[in-house]
Amino acid sequence: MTLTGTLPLLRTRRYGSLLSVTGWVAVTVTLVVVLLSLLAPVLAPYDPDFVDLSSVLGGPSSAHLLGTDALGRDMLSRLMFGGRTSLVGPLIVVAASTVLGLLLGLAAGWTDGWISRILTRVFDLLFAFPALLLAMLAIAIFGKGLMAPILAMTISYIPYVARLTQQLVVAERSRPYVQAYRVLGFRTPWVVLGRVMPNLVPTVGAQSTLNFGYVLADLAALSFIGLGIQPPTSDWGAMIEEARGALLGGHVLPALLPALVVVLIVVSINVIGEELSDRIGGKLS
Amino acid sequence: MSKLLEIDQFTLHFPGRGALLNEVSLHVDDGEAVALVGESGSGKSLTTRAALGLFPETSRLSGSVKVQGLDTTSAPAAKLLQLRRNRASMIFQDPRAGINPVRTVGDFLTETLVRWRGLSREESVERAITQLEQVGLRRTKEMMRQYPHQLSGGMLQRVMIAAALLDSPELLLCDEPTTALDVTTQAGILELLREQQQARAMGMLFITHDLNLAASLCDRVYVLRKGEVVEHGAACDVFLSPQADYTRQLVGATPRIELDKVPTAPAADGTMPLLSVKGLGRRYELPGGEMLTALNDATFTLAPGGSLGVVGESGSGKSTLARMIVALETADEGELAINGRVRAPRPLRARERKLLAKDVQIVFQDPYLSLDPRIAVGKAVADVFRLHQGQGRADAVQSARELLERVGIGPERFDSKPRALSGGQRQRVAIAKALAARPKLLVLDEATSALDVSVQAQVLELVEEVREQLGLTILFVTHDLAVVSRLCAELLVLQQGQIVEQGPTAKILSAPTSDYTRTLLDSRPRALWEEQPA
Repeated sequence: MTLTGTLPLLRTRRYGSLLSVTGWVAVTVTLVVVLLSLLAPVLAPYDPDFVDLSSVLGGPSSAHLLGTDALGRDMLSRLMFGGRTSLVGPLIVVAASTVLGLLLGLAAGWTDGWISRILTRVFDLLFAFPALLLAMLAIAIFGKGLMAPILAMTISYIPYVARLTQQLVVAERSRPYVQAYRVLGFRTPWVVLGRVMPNLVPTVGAQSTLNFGYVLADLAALSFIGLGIQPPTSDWGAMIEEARGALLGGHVLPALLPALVVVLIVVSINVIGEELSDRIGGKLS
Repeated sequence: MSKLLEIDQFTLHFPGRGALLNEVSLHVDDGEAVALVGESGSGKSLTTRAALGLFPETSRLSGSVKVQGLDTTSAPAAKLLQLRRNRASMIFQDPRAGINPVRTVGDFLTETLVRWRGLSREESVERAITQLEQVGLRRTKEMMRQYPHQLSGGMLQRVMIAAALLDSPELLLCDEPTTALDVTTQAGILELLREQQQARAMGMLFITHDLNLAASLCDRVYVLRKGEVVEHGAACDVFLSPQADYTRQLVGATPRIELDKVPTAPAADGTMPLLSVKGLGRRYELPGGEMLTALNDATFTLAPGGSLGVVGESGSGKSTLARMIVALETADEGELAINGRVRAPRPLRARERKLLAKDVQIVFQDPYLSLDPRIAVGKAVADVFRLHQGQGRADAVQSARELLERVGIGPERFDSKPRALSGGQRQRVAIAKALAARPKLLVLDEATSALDVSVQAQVLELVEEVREQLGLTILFVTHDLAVVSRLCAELLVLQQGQIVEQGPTAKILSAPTSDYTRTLLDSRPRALWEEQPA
């Protein structure tokens, strides 16, 4: 006799599964893309930078499953290698902004005094800056490449994590179990970092999963306008940009394929993030 | 003649959880008040909802639930809608959950009249106002323009009753309609329900976990346990000579005031009081700048080994007092000393808090919220031993095992997360956690009011036991005089932040000097067959 009666969350989805069918499809898509990218050096049929001017803009064939681009490079290989750069950027941004956002959010949510007020204002200020704009500013200062946008994106995604954490902490602070810790005489840092923070991680993690999709799209956009990854390194955003000329000439695939992959992975990750936060949100309320 | 409500061999299966209701049979005749008594999880709400044709999705049904001959298990949606609109109404536990907070009381009441009865706006307003007057509300014209948050819980529950009565139902279903209310408010609502039920000759099915309530309102009673009716009959028969074991246990566990069983305080021997409170006050600033005095000029002492009950309704300041004693809040004025140490009038520093923890601990009301959901119960208790008794990991685990065993949590539960435990078990763990700091004073803030009666009785027993064994001093904050009468030798009655009466429990209960204490005593539900207060 467990307490299902008091835990309606266990029954929100009919079979008690963590994700819906759509969710599992999204997980599968994400895993396939990540695995193909990770294993690119082993699996890719060609060197992604190998220029073969004899087969320029070739359609799909047995030699080139997804065709070739304007320089005759194998599209499949470039997409697989492109995933390595396109996925690693968002990964760094999400990891860094989650850790920093969590800590700043805890600080802002747990205290009542000036620390909280200043941090809250800083979050507000950062919210006012579009991430892309901040990234361009960073690029203007530090130059093109992967590092400047990653730094800028990390900063602009911190407030999303921090604000959420802050709200959760404020709610958590007044819960009886936290007050019980205080009355029992446990020190605040131990309670906050050791006991409260782990309870927030699932919710914050769901938000960060969502962020991953947005960051990936933003970084691809930066590469597309030529500010991110520089040629010849393959990157999905850069690939779309390079294929613009071919697009005008009626060759759709070289631009369409990387765009499709970006859409596919962003949608998949958003679906996962939404479902996770729905699940966990329901659990916390 | 067909019965008003007739449930016959009704079984409700829910996939994965078995039969939630098992061959339940009950009936309510025209104009009859019937109580359905059971603890949480007994299926009493499911039964009531079944009468309106509301079944959990994916459940399998058998048997029949007939309202005036209409079987709700098989009736088409249109018929059910008609039933809910015209013939049956329901009142829920929490009036605030059942009303749209952004619309006025008037909108709420007239909506159904305009849409379903085809009344004009003026006619519906008139009918709504008459109805509000009937349920004992005053200044009804203004109330029609007010929003739910402007009304108290008791007033709002009256509005909900008015809404239920607007349809002139023949069957009124009440699902714990007074559980969220104060005793004095509850008394008024019960009076109103009794009056309306008799005046309209309505059939009423009254769901409650409280035997006393059932007895004060209903002629016949069904006792439900784990989805099965274990006993039914005339209310006085069931309560005075219960047949089923479960009913007997329930009747035994129901707290009542028995003056000869009230504990007496140990003779004062001039030792220093463990807790001494002098002129303690706490004010809050309300939005808008107004000041609310939560507690004013409270003065009392509690001797080592004593037991003090602090009784009051919501807003009396009893929880504020408890929270100030454990330093979750800081007093605005007055002095508080525990174990000879005078409390600094500011938030405590980490060192002071750790010291204080060995003097006083608290057990909160809701055991579902007061345990960290992620931490296994054994570890939660062991952590306290490590902090306060300076024990190593292995020793702390051993101490935690012993203490948990002592409060009735076996070693097989040591690694369980709180969610795997029942409410009573969780409260035992919460008590163990508090005791692990080896405090001298234990504050219990409504520590049993979220529990079922039978569980409450067990937890009270546990508190009594550890009090005797460990020589603990107890401060029990509650709204329930009966609970206090069993546990506390001394009593302190709070009303709106003021102490209105204090002294030995037996004396106060037998001869209260303040009007308010008398009102509290008189508001306790009284069985229909007992003498009613004049």
